[in-house]
Formats: sequence, C-alpha cells, structure tokens
Amino acid sequence: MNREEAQFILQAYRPNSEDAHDPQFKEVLALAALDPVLGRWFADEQAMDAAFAAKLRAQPMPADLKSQLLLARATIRHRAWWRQPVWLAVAASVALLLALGGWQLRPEGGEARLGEFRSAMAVAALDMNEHVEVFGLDAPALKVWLTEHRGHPDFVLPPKLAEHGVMGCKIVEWQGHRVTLLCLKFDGGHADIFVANAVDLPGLALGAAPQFAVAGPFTTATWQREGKIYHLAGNFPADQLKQLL
Amino acid sequence: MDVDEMDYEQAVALYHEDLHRFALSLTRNADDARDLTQESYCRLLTKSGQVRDRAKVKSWLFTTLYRVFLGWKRHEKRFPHLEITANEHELPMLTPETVDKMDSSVVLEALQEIEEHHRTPLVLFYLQSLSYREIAEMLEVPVGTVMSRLSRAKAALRTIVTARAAQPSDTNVVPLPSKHRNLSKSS
Repeated sequence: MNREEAQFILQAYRPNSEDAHDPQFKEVLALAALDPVLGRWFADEQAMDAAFAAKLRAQPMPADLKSQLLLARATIRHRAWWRQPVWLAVAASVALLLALGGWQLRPEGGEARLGEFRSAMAVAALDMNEHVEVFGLDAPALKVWLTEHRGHPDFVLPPKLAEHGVMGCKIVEWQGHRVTLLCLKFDGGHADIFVANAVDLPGLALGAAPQFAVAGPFTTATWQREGKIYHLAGNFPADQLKQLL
Repeated sequence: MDVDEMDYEQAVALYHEDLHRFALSLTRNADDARDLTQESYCRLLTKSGQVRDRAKVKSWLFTTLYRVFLGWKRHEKRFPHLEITANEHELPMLTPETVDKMDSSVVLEALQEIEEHHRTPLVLFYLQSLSYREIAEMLEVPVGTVMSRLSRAKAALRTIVTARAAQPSDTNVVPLPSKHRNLSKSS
C-alpha cells in the first residue's frame, strides 16, 4: 500500500468509534505510526475533522424538540378508537341521536343498514384524538401502508376529490369488516372518505349515483363503484360536497 | 418488535440531537429539519414492527429520516442543489484553528453547498453515529463508494470554507494566512 492509498483510508478514520476494530483501519494506523510524513498528515487531518465536527455539533438545538417528540407518543398510538371511553361516549351519543332519527323515519332493510354504517363512520370521523394512524405519506407510501395493514390500496377517488390529496389514514372496523379512513386536505374544512369492499357490506342498497344524507355534524355522500363502497363525510354544506363528486 | 414507552423515550433521549443535526444538514432549513426529525420518530411509533432488533433503532431512524427526505425532495423539489463554484487553485491554507474561530453557521452553510450524495456521508462521518456498513446500507452503495464520496466531500467542504474565509468579509469569518495547501497529497 502506498502513502496515497493509506491516506484515502485514514481520511475516513473516526477516533473513539468502532473503526479502531476494523482490520483495514488497523493496518493503515500501523503504517501511520511508522511513517513520520504520513503520521503528520494524519494528525493534521484528525485535527481538521475534529474542528468541523465540533462546528456541526455546535448548531443550536430547538429547545422544545425533545418535548414535542415525547408528546408525539401520546397522540400517535395504535389503540383502536372504539376502545377509548371518551369516544365510546361520543359514539353512544351520536348512535343514539341517529337511531332516534332513524326510528322516526322507520327505514327498512338496506336503508336502515346504510344508516347504521353512516352513524358508525360519523363516530370515526369525529375522533380527533386519534383521527389517523399515519400522516404525511406520499401516494406510493400510502398504498404500501394500506397493503401492509390490509386496507384498500386500490381505491379510486372522483378527480375533484383526489385533487385535495390524502393527509393521513387509518383502518377502522364495522361489523367485523375493515374500512379504510382517508383524511383529505381541505382549506378551512375537513372531510374523510371511507372505503370498504362491497362484498363485505352487502345489502346497503347503493349504486353508482351518490346518496346524500346528514349524519351527526356531517354532510355525507355514499356510492358504490367497481366493487368498492365509498362514503364521504365533510363538515361543509351539501352544495359544496356535491361539487366534489 | 413493538417500541414500548421506555424504548421510545430512550430513542428520543439518545438520538434526537444527532438526527436533527443530520436533518439540518440535508434540508438547509430549521423548520424542515424539525419536521423531518418529527416524521422519523412518528414512523418509529407507527411502524415499529419494521424494526426487528432493538440495537438497530438508531440506524433505522437515520435511514428513515434520509428516505423521508429523499421522498420530499423527489416530490416537492424544495431542496435545490447549489453548485460549488469556488476556485480551489488560488485559495489560502485552512487550519483547524481557523475553523475553530468560525461561526458554526458558516460551516453549516458551506456543508449545505455540497451536493447531497456527497454531503450525506460527510455529515454521518462527523456525527460518528453509524458504522460504515450502516451508512453504506442506508445509501445503498458499497462501503468503498461511501469512502470515495467522503473523500471528495471533505475536499469540497474545505474548498468552500476556505473560499468563504478568503472573501472580503462583512461576516464573522476569520481571515486566513495566505498559503497554499494541497488537500490530497502529503506535505
């Protein structure tokens, strides 16, 4: 090994690290100990590295970063929303209100089942404590996440709705079936779209044309397309919701 | 493996500063660096099943941060690359003492002028957080390539810092003695 080759390896050596146990570094360190010119060069190199490393470490750290990271643990958890007492209470209240409304209208069969589905999804949309499990994923990463979590990666949104982009998502369950919640980005508003397999939720009496309804605080639209059921719930007027479909 | 409360607290306590420094070197922006650090820890909470071995949490965090950064860069183009324009033939000599006297922001700005795929191994070299094998796995290149990039990045950093130090200054950069230094050959 000539001096230039030794320098190439030595320039990568980091003192006080596991590099000292690497046979490649051991060999060139031995060379540097025997060759005064190489030894001087190495000492200069180490001093320069230490000076730059110190400057990198001297960058001020945001004072609240650590506390924010610890706080994140409290807001991103895996526990299912229906297991939380506060949301059980909200769910019960919303379900009761919707059930009372439903009793007055006396819907039957598929319509009643659709009403139950709307109620359950309204509860999930109201859960602002653990609204989504992941957020900030780009489209490919979102599909990977949904595949890994047995969600519905093959969803197709109406073009105007798709323009808003998915902010976050999670998987909820309804009557033992998995439903994907996609939280959409809106300025000054909020909308979630739920996606389920139509075969999992038979008898909902849905077609390609959206059915509009009010569920709790949400205006909703529900439709079926290519084997999927889509349920959009937004906190804005029906006219605005219709423009998205 | 699920990351329990203790693991997560430990991962924050032990690695968040170096992760933030790494993020800052990549993003050139304190807000983006904070977002990137937070996103990495969020993913640790939500995807801890991907971490097979507790000893790998650190390299998993660094790799995740780097991949999230690459994703942002690909989709948002918010981290434009700055070309190195310094003339290295007529620059005075840079010494460790000169670097010691510089403001750390000058060094960080110089780092950020280096092309990202050279800058990343250099920053990881200075932080000493990962082994060369881990850095190579993160960058998906052989260890030899990491060392070549490191060598070029070190030379580039010195060139840029030297050029900045040699400029007539309205900043806090300390002037250098006027000597030449061959960066790649022994003296």
